[in-house]
Amino acid sequence: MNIKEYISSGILERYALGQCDAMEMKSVQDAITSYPELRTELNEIETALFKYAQSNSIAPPSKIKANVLSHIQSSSNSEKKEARIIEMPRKTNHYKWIAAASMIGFAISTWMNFIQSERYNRVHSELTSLRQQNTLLAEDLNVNRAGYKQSEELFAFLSDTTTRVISMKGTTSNPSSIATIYWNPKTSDVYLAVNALPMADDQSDYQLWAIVDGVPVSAGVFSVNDTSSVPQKMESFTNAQAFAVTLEKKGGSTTPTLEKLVVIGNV
Amino acid sequence: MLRDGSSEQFAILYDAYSGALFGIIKRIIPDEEQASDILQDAFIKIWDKRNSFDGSKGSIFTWMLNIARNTAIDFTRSKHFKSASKNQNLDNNVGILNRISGSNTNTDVIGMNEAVKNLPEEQRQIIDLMYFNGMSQDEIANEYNIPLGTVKTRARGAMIKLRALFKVGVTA
Repeated sequence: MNIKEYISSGILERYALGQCDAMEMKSVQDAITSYPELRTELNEIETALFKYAQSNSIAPPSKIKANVLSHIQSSSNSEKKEARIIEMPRKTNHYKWIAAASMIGFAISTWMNFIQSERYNRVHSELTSLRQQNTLLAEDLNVNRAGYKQSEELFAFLSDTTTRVISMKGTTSNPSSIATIYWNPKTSDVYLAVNALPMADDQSDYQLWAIVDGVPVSAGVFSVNDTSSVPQKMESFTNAQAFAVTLEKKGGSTTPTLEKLVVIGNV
Repeated sequence: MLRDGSSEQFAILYDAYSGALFGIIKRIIPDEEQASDILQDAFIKIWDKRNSFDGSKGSIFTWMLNIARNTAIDFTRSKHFKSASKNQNLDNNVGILNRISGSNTNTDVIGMNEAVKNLPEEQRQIIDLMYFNGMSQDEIANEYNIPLGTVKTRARGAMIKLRALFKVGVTA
């Protein structure tokens, strides 16, 4: 970009005077971001305009300042704190130029402090929310890690050559039901995967039984849901001849209700 | 803690800019009482919007001026303003064109006003209408029956003079 040409086109003046349309405004903002000389030029234009506006100053009634300050304090602050009104010292004509100039300088540095403290507050609250996000992500990560570890263990378990796969088939009254047991007699771990079981009603739970030396022993209660097809760990057994699932009252029973037998499979 | 500091700093900000903004508002709303109310509204808006100020897009004063001017212009479109001062508004616009610099402005900055007298009247009118009244160059050309090209030439000339007039001294 030719900086000199850009400046002499007068677009910065029009920008400062509010004569630019949205597209021109965007292009000026991009230009002053990329070229510091243009920013300096715009600053000088705005300063000249500000001084011109200052030369047309009219002192407002003093009550307005008190009104403004009490409004912002009541809106931004629940603490009871009196608006501190800072009266600017009276100036003699001689020093008006200097006083006005130093006041502008002071006001600008004050405003910069003001903006900085606002920015600090904003950055601070952003930091706080980022920290919270970070904590949430760390928690997520822990959950995922635990899930991953479980999956790894399950995979190792399933691929272990001593792990046996027992398919439990539906009884005559439940021909389409099917579930699978993964049992490792060496480690005694028992996993159950539901392949197809109807949802139990509100008053009932499914219960897994291991038939140990002809006696059914409870291997745990389970329900059927979206994740039931993933093998879930049940009670451990070192010895069993068969596994079966019955539909029992909510919470399970001590002995199986044989007429509610759903699936069964021999080891 | 910081909030308290901010409201004190805002008081200083008020001292620095309220005069210039009130001068601009009174140009749009001549009635002292109504103009005072608008100044108050404008400063409250400035406070409320303080987080949206973006120093990379322009100066604080330009930003504050836009808020104050828009508040004033919005008010002139309200029923309250029209019924109270329709004629006054017309007179005021004529007044802007006929005004000789400094006649009813703040005597607090006499030195500056002397400097501004070096600005040709017809250039000054254009700057005033754009900067203080928020009019576009097209609107000025239509309203005052001046060719658009002339409006643009005068605006350019005025800016060059203004910058020369106010080059000395203060950095911002």
